[in-house]
Amino acid sequence: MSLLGLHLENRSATKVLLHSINHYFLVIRSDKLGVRVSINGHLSNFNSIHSYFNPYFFRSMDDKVQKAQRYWKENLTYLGILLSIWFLVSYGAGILFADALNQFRLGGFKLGFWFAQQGSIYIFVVLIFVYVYLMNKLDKKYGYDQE
Amino acid sequence: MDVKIWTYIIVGLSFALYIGIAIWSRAGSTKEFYVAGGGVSPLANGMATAADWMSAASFISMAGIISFMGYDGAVYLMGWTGGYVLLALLLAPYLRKFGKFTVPDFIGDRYYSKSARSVAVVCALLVSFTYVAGQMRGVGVVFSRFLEVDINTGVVIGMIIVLFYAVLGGMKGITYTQVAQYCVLIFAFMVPAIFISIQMTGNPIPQFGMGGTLADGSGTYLMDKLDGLSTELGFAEYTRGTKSVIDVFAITLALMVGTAGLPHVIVRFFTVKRVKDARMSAGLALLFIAILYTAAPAVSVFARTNLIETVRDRPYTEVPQWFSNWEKTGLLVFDDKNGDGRIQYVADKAQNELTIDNDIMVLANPEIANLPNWVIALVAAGGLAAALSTAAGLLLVISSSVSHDLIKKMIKPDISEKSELIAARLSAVVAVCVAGYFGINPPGFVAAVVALAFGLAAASFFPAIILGIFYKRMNKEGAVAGMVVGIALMLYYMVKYKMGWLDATLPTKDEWWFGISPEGFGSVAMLVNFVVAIAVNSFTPAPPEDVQQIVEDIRLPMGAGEAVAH
Repeated sequence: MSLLGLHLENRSATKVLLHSINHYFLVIRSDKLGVRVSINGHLSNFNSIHSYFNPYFFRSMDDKVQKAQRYWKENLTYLGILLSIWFLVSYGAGILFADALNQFRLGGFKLGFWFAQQGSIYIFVVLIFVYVYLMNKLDKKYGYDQE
Repeated sequence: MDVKIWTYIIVGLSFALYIGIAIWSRAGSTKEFYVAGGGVSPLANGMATAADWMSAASFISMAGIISFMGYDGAVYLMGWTGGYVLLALLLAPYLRKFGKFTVPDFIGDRYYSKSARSVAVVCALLVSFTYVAGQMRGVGVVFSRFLEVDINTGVVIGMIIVLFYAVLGGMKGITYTQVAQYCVLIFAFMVPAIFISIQMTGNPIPQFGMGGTLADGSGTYLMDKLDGLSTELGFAEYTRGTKSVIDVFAITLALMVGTAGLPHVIVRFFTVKRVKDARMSAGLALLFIAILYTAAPAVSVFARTNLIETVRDRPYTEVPQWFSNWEKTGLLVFDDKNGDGRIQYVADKAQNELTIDNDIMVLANPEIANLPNWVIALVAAGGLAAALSTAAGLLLVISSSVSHDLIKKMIKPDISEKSELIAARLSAVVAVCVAGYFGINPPGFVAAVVALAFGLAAASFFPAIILGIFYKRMNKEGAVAGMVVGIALMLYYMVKYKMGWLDATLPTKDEWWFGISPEGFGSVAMLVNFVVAIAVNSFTPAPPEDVQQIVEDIRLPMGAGEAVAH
């Protein structure tokens, strides 16, 4: 099909960067799934040429972009918290403060030694599963979960 | 039945299983060959990743090394597990969303340049080849020890087995054999560990037994006893270690970041269906790895205590049977320096009369614990499973680097699917032969190059991938400059301070920069890579908009199945 002076082949996948507005990139792609528009990677159905000229179309795409930015920000917050714990148990308790912690005991273990050879590994495993749980919930909240 | 017959039976059965799986799951397309068709379940991928990751060194040598290093062994324990947190949180989900076949694919597309792709291909090949040479040697060593064949014969048998299922099955065949190999190796590691734990502390869980009291009813904690024995013989207290804090910090960081940057680990996360499966399988992989990695330090403590108790000041004529068995292999060497007929095992090198190989701590465990012969055979099968699974994973990275990144993406873009698959299989054959050659004729600096593999991965891939995902403005000039400077610095440091090729004699510890050993220098080279990349990026143009769009795109989990057309 021909659109806005651009020729899009339906048979092979084509991506055309149309233009950028503020930090938004508008891309039209045409492949076997049809012709679609995406803004900053968010796909929108673009079956009719009218939607491109429709002001509501941009408003709804703008919502999508903002939603994606909120999602990314929440993800970064989780990363910050979990990686701080990751650093504190291994480099903190297991290495930098190991000597100080060795005054305390956990059964037969000196505490600093336990963090270095046992505890930090357990906590690494827990951290990943906490992240899996949080992100699955976040994906659902924003409608990004895949079936 | 004697050990040898048991070993033939158990090792033979496990090999039949691997080959059976390979025939059942052979690859029919390049997608199946490179990423197992992208439909592996998180559980299977978790097990496969764990087997891929745990090499003969993890299985056989690590517990022994830790038992001699004491606290300092934590660099390996934390370094080789903590990297999975980085993988799960910072890399795996986004690379899965990106949805291609190899790490150079990501670097090449994200940094829109052939030079970036070439640098990545060279790094991937360098890292994987250095690593795989050690694995093939490991296969040969395990064969020679348990089946009493020549090491070179062992390497050749290993080559044929790996060749069979890597060439036939590609990633798909490797994945499902690795699942079986994980089961074999974890069972083989845990059975002796559990029995020794019961014997020494009465606790069936080695991780708890390590912190428990001795089974002799004295109420003394095992760790306290070992600390006491160590200082008595002039060694450092087991729980303290001898490395400087900054070096322990640097080595741990280099190993963690290197783990997260190793291509054969990263590529495993391309094989699952969805972004959330990538996260989940990273968690499961670490869980499966952690079972061995938390039991290994316990085995170290049991074995060390046991060994000191057995040999300390004992007349040579009264040593137990296992001692003489392992003496024959040369792993235990007694040299009666003062001629009193007793074994003096002390820290002072001039007086010490006993030389112990690292590997004996795991290999001799079943005999020390008086376990039946089939357990010894099981340990042999476990060691082989660990070595073969890692070798296969690495060979696949090498073959896809050649057939996909070099031939398809750089030399002959119009190659047909069918020819690419043939090219992939042929490069796997060549890679196996080259790895086998290095296994039979190991370069003298193998140990040094394995440490180099982690340093190189840390200094090259990790910063480029992290910046590619988390810093949209990152451009090709910055990324390429960072990778080149990072690798060059790492190579220079290794050549100067590990190989000693630049000076008449190897420089001493006092000359190390910031007191950081070559093993830990990867973390410095990684930081330099980040700084150079960001600096160069700040005065060069921003990446094109469609590249910035790729970055926006990989941050969202939706639509991971929909790979961008090649």
